[in-house]
Amino acid sequence: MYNIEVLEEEWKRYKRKKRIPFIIGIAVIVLGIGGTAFFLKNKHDIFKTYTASKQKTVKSDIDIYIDRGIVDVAEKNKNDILIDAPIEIAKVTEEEGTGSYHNGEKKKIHIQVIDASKKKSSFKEIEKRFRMGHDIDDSLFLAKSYYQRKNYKKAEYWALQTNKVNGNVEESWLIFAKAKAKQGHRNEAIHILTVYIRRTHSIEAKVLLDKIKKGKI
Amino acid sequence: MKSRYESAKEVFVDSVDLDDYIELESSLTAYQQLEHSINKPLKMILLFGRPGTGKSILLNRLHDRLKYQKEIYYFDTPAINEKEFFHKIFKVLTKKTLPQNTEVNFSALVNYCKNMRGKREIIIMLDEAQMYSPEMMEKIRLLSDSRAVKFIVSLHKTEDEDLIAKEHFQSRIWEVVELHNASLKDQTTYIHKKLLKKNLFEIANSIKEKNFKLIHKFTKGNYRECNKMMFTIFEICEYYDKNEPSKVRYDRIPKRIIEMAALKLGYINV
Ligand SMILES: Nc1ncnc2c1ncn2[C@@H]1O[C@H](COP(=O)(O)OP(=O)(O)OP(=O)(O)O)[C@@H](O)[C@H]1O
Ligand SMILES: [Mg+2]
Repeated sequence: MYNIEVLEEEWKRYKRKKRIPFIIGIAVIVLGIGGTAFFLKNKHDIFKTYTASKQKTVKSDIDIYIDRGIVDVAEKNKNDILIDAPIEIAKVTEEEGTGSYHNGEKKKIHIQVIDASKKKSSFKEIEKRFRMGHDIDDSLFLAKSYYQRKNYKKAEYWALQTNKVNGNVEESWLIFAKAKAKQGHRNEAIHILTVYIRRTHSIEAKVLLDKIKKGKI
Repeated sequence: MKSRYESAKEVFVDSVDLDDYIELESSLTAYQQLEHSINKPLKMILLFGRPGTGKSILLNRLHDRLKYQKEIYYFDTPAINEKEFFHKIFKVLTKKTLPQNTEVNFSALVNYCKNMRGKREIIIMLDEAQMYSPEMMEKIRLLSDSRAVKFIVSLHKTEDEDLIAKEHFQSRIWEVVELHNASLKDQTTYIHKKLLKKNLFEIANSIKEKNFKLIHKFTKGNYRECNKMMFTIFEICEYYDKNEPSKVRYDRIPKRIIEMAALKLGYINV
């Protein structure tokens, strides 16, 4: 099972963060009241005091944020090591998460364990695991692997499965389109990419579209 | 013995198992619409809905209920290529298997269907139909024109319907049945009944109304998301039960655990 302590930490941060707007709200109200009182007391000094106190709140807010960000990355890295069974290490790849999907920007280390003699069965294993957990890392992995192996029908299928779980994973769109194109359905690939570009203005998708239009894929 | 949470967790493993089918208001409506459409002289029926809204399980249910009255077939995953697909169709129509290295002559197949007209009526349900190429869909349509074979085509729409819902479907299909995400009421029934089926009464009672509301908010009523969510909630409970029993209570599910599950699944972020 995944690391529960990390999850607990995350939850605490989540709670704290949820409280921030509330605390800021209270602070603003208190400052507001204080300010008004001060204003009544001393009309001339008010402008200076007000900006000063305001700056203070904003600054502390930013500080908290930055701190958390750093902790976040470190902890996420620790947490996101995915280990694929069966364990006979043959290759370790490090991937930069595309960042456009999942929990914002996180970096993923995907330890990909492949035993040459059991390649097929470990794929099956991952397929099975996907059906259980619907983790797009699994389906995307399958889509990419099948694409590399030139099994375009399967690549298309797994890209689609990824898309079913999360429609915003750019890679799944790109693989889907590439796989379509490879199977000779150029028009469909073009159509899909056009739709996607209209929605996201993705540069990568535009580059790919251009390639497909020119028949390079 | 299995811990209660382990059993509860397993209830929500995503599967399309008919024994697990639960009668819900929305699925009943869709079921009745489908059944009604089947009896009308239509050629193609479209079952439409977001991923995880229960299309596959509904088709399975339909198959199960009608298999003794009608010639009805369910194709779960799309064929890899046309050749394989027509082998499957050939088998269904003629009840004979074609030798491996032969190919089906499509126009002969169409003629075969035309000759069947009025004698047999075959219903073929195609799940995951977004996987079929336009060329293949065109041939499927030609087969349905014979009026001896009727197709129920199931496909999903995603956020961007265009990716999947190819226009040509719409213009040619005569009847559309749509499945939606569950209402709070349906989702509550769903979770309850699933647990009760496995005799997990106490667990079912430990989920309170406000928990259901929260779960519905996170999952937007999607059945597949709901499964994932419940699975994760019980997975966390199971962990606590084994390792830190002070953090769980059998009579209720702490909101914290639901939020932790939501974090784990990315419904909320820090
Ligand atoms: N009426 C129901 N009774 C029991 N389980 C259901 C019901 N509706 C949906 N489910 C469950 O919800 C999950 C998703 O359903 P299903 O796989 O049928 O969705 P789908 O619409 O076919 O999705 P996709 O478009 O991704 O193929 C399954 O685990 C299924 O068992
Ligand atoms: Mg399905």
